[in-house]
Amino acid sequence: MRNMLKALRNNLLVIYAVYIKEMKIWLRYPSWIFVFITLPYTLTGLFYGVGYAIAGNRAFDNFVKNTGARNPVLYYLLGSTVLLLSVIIIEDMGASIRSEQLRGTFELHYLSPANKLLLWSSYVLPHGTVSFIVIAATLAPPLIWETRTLDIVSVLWTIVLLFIGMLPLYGIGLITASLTIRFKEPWAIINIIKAFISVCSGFLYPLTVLPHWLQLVSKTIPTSYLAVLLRDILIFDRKLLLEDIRLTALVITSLLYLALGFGIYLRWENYARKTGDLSKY
Amino acid sequence: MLGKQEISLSTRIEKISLELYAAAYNGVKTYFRYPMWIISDLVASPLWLLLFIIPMLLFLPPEKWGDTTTYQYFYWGMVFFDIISASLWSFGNAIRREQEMGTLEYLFLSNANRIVLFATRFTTRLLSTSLSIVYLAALMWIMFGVQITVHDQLLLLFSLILSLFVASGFGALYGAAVLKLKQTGPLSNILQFVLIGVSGIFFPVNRLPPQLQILAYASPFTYCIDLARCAAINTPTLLPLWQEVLLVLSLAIIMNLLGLKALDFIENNTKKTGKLGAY
Repeated sequence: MRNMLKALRNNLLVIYAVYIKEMKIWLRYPSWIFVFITLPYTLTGLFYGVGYAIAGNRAFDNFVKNTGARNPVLYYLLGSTVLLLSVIIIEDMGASIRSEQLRGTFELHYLSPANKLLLWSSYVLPHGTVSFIVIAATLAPPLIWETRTLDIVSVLWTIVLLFIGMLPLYGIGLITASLTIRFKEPWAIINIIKAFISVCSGFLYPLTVLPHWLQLVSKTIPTSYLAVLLRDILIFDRKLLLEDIRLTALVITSLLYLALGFGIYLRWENYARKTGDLSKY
Repeated sequence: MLGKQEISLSTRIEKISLELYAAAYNGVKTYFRYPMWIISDLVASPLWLLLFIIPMLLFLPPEKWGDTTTYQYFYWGMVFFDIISASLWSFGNAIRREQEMGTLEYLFLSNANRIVLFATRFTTRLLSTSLSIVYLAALMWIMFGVQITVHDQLLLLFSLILSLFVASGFGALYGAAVLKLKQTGPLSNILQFVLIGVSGIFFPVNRLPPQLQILAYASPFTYCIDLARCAAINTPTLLPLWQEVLLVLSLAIIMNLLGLKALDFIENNTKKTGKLGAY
């Protein structure tokens, strides 16, 4: 019992240390947080501006007909914020390990008695904190502008959905981390993964506009369910029910991606330890 | 004059040509050193293209989604998206990358013309932009069945080369800011989308609200894309054609001269204050 408590305390210390370190790095460059808040606005302005310029006065009506949403600003703000956060999480897992390698601190982690899986998993918490701050700061102004009040259940559902939606991204992040350990400079592959997830998730458009075969592919991507469910709650004011098949699909695919990420990471880590690849970069 | 060596014009030209050759050689070598990046661009480009085009199409009725002219606008918009990004990320942040690699001080210790800093990136960008132009045209045909046609090939080539020069001049000016401010990643991100928005790269700027049109006319890229669009899809230009050609040519020269002056000024300033190596 005492050993278990000690192990728990040590694990919590690992999580705490990673959280403090990463938040310190985030806060060292606060201008990036400013960018994450403003970038969805610039993207929204770009889409809306171009849309208006090419379609003229009928732009808004066409948009309502094509999406069912009556607020293009909120629609694109929500979509581009979730898109941005997804891209950051996918990139950051690989980038965190790569920067540890470049700083020469990567091997030191393997000399410490900390659980490595827990160590790399802990990165999701600081990134999650920044994500919630960004999404709240980005979406609050248009919601206030519309004088819409979200009930507490909707807010809680949003947080729960974001948390579940981060798990598969984290799983993909672990795969990119594995690729980092194996190939050292995996940015080219990460670029393809990011583009694929972004297109198939339908963050910025309803998935029905995609070709049929791509719609089928998107059903295997958890973030496609996340985008639809978040839109239902925040844009269409719908109540989410536990028996909603999309929620079940989100949970199942998220867990599958997470398990896949862990599986691949452990395999590559094992391989790198055996071949001595850990210290080569 | 004591301490100053007289160099003939031909020797000076030979020297700068050698420096430019070395910079271009470096650029080409670096570009082909990472073939995975080229493959990744080829695979990911159609996906990014879809991601950008579909949200804009949502403002049109579905029956107009097959309109050829709309796609021609999008195509040249994507090409200029690439050129504006190059200006900030390839040229502007070239200094930052040299700083991070620890080679900036060596470059500034040498007597090489500072333009070589950008010539390397210019060569790389010329390669990747040429590839993008061909590749995006093929994608437009495969994905949307739209054939990209060019009205005046010579004018288009001329306008694209000048646009790259304007981008490099703008990049040099921005590079001076990078040298001074060091960490400009956030600024580059925001500036990129502001420039794309106000320069009317996806549509003619006269469709912008009047207040934004003032900003649009202040952006050098507005005239570059306007000229390229005129050459490609025969759209009317903002100014009479010959005046716009002259303006873009002047912008290409003035922006580069201003950029080099600004770079020179900041370099001297940071050398005096000892902040060249601080980042």
